[in-house]
Amino acid sequence: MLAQAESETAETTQPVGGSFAALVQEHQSMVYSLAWNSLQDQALAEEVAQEVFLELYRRLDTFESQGHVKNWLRRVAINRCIDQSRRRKIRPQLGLEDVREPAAPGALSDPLMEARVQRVVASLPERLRSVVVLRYQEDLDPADIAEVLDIPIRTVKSRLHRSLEMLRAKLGPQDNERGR
Amino acid sequence: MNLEDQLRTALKRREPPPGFAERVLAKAESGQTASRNGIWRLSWLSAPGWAAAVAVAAVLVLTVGSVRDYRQRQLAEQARNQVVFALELARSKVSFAQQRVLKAAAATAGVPEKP
Repeated sequence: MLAQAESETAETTQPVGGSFAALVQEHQSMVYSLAWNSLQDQALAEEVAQEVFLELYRRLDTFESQGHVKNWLRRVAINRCIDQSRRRKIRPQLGLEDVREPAAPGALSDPLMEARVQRVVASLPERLRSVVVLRYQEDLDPADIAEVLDIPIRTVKSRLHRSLEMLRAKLGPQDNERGR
Repeated sequence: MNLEDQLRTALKRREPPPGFAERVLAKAESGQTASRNGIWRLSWLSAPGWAAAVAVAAVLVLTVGSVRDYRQRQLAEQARNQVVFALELARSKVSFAQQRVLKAAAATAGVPEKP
């Protein structure tokens, strides 16, 4: 945890160097996953992720540090996803190919359960979904989420609380049972 | 596994489809070329050239404005003449009718009444 915090601090103050290609390599997984987890559509997620990186490319000269770039990418990716969801009234499109294979025999993760959780997350209203994705994909604390979304911390906490309540209700008693 | 752990597992980062970075870089490069061309197209005029273009545009706007103003004045003049003509016409008709009435009254006054 401490190592992660140190790494984040170093990243925040490190000047933007290297090429655009290096930035894409470094952050592609984060940006694509934010889009995928928000939109649940592979083609749309790639389109949004590409747009975000192209926007970064156009503004590359304006960034002061790596941390600035990372936060900017998170903010722009989430906002683009919210726009896309509103524009196209996204319905989750999850095919069998999107369900991950079990990582190892006997592992705790259940691909079908994962897919179900992803679908339920995708059914949340955009504002709640973005908070959940930033919290559980990016492991951001409420203060960081507040900074990314430019909203008060209290709003983040309330949205997280509401999201978890809705998710528990939607996943039903059997999953809550498993969750305990 | 509780709900929060399930969410962490379900929403963990995934790799983009193969060739994603290459496609982004190709688009960025082609976008940059297009952008350069666009800037070149806009900036081929020098500062005096831009000033002349702005002056010509201003003259055009003023000319169009003057022509429109002249046309409106013409229309107003035509309307005024039509109103004057209509008033003249009405005046002559009223005058004619008045004369007829007076004549009729005089004729009526000259006829002896029946016993």
